[in-house]
Amino acid sequence: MNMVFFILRRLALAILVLFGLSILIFIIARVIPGDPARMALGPRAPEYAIENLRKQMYLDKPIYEQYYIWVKNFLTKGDLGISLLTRRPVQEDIKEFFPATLELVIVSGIFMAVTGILLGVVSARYRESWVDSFTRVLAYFGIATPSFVWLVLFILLFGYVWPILPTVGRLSRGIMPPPHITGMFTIDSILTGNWRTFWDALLHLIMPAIALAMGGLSQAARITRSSMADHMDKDYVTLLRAFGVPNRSIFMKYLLKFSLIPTISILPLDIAALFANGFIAETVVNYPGLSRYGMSAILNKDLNAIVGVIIVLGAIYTLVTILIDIIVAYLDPRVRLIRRAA
Amino acid sequence: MEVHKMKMPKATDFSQKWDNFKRLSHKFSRSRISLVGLFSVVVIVTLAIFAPLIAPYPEHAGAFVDYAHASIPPCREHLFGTDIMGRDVLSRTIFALRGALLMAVGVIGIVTPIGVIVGLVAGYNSGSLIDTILMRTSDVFLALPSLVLALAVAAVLRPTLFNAMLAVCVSWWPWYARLTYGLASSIRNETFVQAAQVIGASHFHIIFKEVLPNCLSSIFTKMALDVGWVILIGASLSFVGLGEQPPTPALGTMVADGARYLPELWWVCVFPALVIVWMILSFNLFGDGVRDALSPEEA
Repeated sequence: MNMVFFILRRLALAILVLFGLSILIFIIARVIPGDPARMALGPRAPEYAIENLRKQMYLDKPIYEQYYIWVKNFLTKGDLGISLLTRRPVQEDIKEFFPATLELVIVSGIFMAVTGILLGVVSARYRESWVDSFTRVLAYFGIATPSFVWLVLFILLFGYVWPILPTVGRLSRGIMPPPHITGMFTIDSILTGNWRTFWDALLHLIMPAIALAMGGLSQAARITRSSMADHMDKDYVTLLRAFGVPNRSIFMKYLLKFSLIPTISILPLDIAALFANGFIAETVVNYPGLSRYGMSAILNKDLNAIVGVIIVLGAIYTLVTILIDIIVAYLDPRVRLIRRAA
Repeated sequence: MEVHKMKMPKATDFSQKWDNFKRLSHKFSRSRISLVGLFSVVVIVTLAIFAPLIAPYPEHAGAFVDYAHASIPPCREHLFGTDIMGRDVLSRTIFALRGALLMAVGVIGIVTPIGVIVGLVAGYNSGSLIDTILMRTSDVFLALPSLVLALAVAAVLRPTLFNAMLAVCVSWWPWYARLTYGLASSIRNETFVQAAQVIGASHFHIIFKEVLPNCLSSIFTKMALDVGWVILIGASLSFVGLGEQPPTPALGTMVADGARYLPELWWVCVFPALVIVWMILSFNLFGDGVRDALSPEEA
């Protein structure tokens, strides 16, 4: 009962926060100097066409009325307005570009979680070994290196010096995209049994995915290691040892669950932040995803697209934070009710 | 029984402050890696301040063209090589340190007072309407990863270093508000705050003279740890062209421009990229040292 209340309260707050975010972004997007209609149609467009577009976009109305219309359209029809750049409804654009980014984030997130936790666990298990030193050095460099720097270095190393990976796009030239099922090329090609496409799509994902994962990975490794090392010195572990419980099951059954709590409360946020870091990585490798769409919307001052992309990202981010709270509460009953519901 | 005359450990006179400083610097210098960080930070700051004296070709930092010496790989005259316009990459990198440092100093200088005041006011009145309004507002700013919010704001404004700074500030102040809020709302229940209230001290006095001094070490720690992050976000903004504009050199812009000429002119892109890493790494190591020195656990 308490748990349900806790979740409902968090959801209600999240909706309020998203409303606030939409107002904030709406204001930011509208204070852009220059006439968006003029920018969309180019400097030589006739006056009446611009007037029409301004009417169509409700730019002739005061900002609070624009916001009201936007909210009403969004809530009743799921309509986010027309993108000035692609001339299509923003929600259609987002539907098209989102799967590509989701695919990238999933691959990157899996890599981040698995490698990070594995490195952390191994270096806690074998303290002062070479894995431990490697993890320590990686932790420093991983956090200090922006993902675009990793990406540029990877492109240089594995794209040119030792060309084993493709450097641009989602698929090589000459390979047809698989039929649209989920929009994620790797999954669609598995579902249709098209292994060549699957392999090609996966190869295109590797570099951006690893570059994006590096920061969160090193953080996860460091946190897992220190938390695990702390737990290993606790009395209950000594007790288990004294009882003759084999090392292996102490590790797998007892240590892992408790010492992963800090990692788990950080990892999903890092994964959600990948959507944001993708903004730059996708631009570098010309990967046609939501982040690149958002980036070009930002650079071209495409109002509706900016608002749409940012609301989607904000919703994902907020949902993930709630999810973390629930997972952590499930793993660790101590925090269940103490945690401030904010 | 003797009256208990213990005062709050407050560094009032000079010698006490000096002792405090000596104790902290001793704690800081126990870790060799923090000292490496400190040394590195000093080098970076020196390079940035004295850039015109240190850089081998200071005139290359601006709009300078010398096609006769374009695209030279690293050699003795040009340690980092030259770019397609014949400008010395090392000189431009040294000058670019200035923008990156200015960004960090500016952002943290603006964000700290704003965030701290919001946090103090909300925390001191925790549970009240002011608290709800202030902290929910900061939640709105935290609903997006800071990079996205900074990108959106920077894109709206004209691309300059100052506007990039403002954009990062918009996404950064809530973290300070949150930190201070957490501290202030628990400190406010301490006996010395209640004592001050009983005596009739003003809210202003309590917030700034009783609560704030007890938050300072956490705030300083956060400031020290944040420098690297701000440099990282600033580099990302300039990487997509939303920072310092050419011909003034910026690290991110140099990497982005250089990436277009991979793999032939690798030095144009790789050296600024490595300098970004070096810079962030040094400030992180330094920040870790400050955190360890200021943390009360193992006094």
